[in-house]
Amino acid sequence: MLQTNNIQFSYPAVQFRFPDIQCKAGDILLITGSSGKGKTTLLHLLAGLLKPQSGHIYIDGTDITALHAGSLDKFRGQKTGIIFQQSHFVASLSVIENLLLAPYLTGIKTNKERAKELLTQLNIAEQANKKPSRLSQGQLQRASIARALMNNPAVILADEPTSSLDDENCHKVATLLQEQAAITNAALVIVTHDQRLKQLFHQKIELL
Amino acid sequence: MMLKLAWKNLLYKPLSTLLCWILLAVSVGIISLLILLQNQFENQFSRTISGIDMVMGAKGSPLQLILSAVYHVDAPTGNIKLEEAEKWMKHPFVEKAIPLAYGDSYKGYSIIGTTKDYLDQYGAVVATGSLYKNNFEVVVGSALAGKLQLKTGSTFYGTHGQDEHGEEHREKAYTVTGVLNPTGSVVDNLIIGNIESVWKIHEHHHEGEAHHAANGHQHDAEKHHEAGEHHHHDEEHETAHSEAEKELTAVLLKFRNPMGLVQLPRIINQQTNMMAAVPAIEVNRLFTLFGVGIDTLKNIAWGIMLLSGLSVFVALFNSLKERKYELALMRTMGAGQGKLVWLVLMEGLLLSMAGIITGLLLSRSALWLVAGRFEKDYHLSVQSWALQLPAEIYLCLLAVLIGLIASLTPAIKAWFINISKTLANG
Repeated sequence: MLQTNNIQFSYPAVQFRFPDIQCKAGDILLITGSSGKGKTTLLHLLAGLLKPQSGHIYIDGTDITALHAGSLDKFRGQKTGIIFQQSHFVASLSVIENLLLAPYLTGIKTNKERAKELLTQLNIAEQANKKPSRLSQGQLQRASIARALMNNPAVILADEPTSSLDDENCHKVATLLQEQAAITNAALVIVTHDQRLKQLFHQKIELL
Repeated sequence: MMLKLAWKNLLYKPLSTLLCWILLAVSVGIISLLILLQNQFENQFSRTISGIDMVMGAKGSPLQLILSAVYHVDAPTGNIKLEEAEKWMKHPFVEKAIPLAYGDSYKGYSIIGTTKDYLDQYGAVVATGSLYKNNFEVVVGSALAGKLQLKTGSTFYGTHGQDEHGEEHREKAYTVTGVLNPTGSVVDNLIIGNIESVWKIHEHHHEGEAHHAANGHQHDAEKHHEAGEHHHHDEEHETAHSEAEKELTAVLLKFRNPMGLVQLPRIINQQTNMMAAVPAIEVNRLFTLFGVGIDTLKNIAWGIMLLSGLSVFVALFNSLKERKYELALMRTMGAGQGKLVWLVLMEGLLLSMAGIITGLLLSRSALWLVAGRFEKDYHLSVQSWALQLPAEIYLCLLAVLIGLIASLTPAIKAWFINISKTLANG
């Protein structure tokens, strides 16, 4: 599902050389490392938000480093679901409209039933028509998981999904991610320095 | 969906959206109102003078003569002698000459003594009742019939002068014999009868005035006469008045060929003590006069529009700064750069559209509110809901353009958003 090959990336000040990663459908891979080791950079590379200087990234058999801007945007929307540390939403739209934005922006037919089903699974169905600003942090995190799953992505990328959550919610979110990845048979990559997650997931790569 | 999103984004910032919207609506409204007024005035004014090449009247201000003789919104410049006027009315260059005797009014609306030609000039025909036959019989314009509750058989007293509260001619009442069809011209607001009625009403009046004016002089003369002689003198005076001193207020003339227009006004102005005024020239002068005012107001409105453009720019720019993360997020969800640019542009366009539509409605409602006054004071009907082509199309295009230009910079910024950096710092 997800495979990288010799990827390198450099900012003006630092240079990163990342270990090769492989994550099959249904697998969960934890990428850990302390701050400044390029965790977020790696996630952005995997998502195609950044372009590596060298090396290749294959998602579902496609080398995304070879894709051009427009097709990369579309590919990203269809194949990857991204969950960010801070859950951001389009503030003017309701939660369910935010979810529907995901298929719409990738040009897939919007499916309201799918959105409702996901919200129900994540136990926030009654928040569907509220504005994101009215939701609690935990609810928002669950909503952003729902959004990432909307298009049945091949790869789910999560950037510090639990860092702002308490122990109870952390555990819930981790379980949810695991469950949902299993349901859609997606490769799940979690970038984190959260010790609590390290105990839950065993397949991990540490950035040094 | 994109449209919905743009719309919701605007609604999410109600205050700044409201400000942009109001500024745009007011500027579009003012300009459109001015365009409407100008077009309506010019149309009405130009239509009324079609077929009138020259107006002959007493010396004074040519513009006043036109305003009084053609539009009936000003006091007459005075009277001219029928005898003298007739020489020119029969001039070989003249195709048609319509004599007018006026100066009296009823509730502020002029009573005109004229010939049937006057009605033909404006295509007015009697809609109900019949045309006047005898003295002191009149027909009334369609608008007046409603406004003054006049119908066939109504009677009323004329008032001296144009003033609503002037002195009434109590001696003789006018009888309405018919109501004219609506013509959309000045006739709609006039009361029209034959010239003799006006003469008859004023015969008595004039004498009275003459007596008053020349009181001292006449007194002296009378003292030297005996009663019988006085009577004789009076009769003589009367016949002289009706033969030689019959007066007109103005004559509307149409020429057979352009030579008349070139020569007659100059000759009349130089060689007689009458004045000839060319409506086309005077009306143009009038347009230029109030064109200056309209242009000033238009410039102010353009200023407001620029300001509204600036406010659209600031509103979009600020909201974009706040929504940078949102836009980056949409990119991660598969939206291309073009889509984001389109979204920002659409917000600007939606605002200008809303502004334009409200502005156009605003100008029409404003016009509708003042229409009554215009009709009463200037005898102009100024109602129009139709788009004024092409001026208002240009106005709309310009407003859209301003909205586009204002949203262009934010849109370009949206195109160049660095997703990774924005998200990492989010």
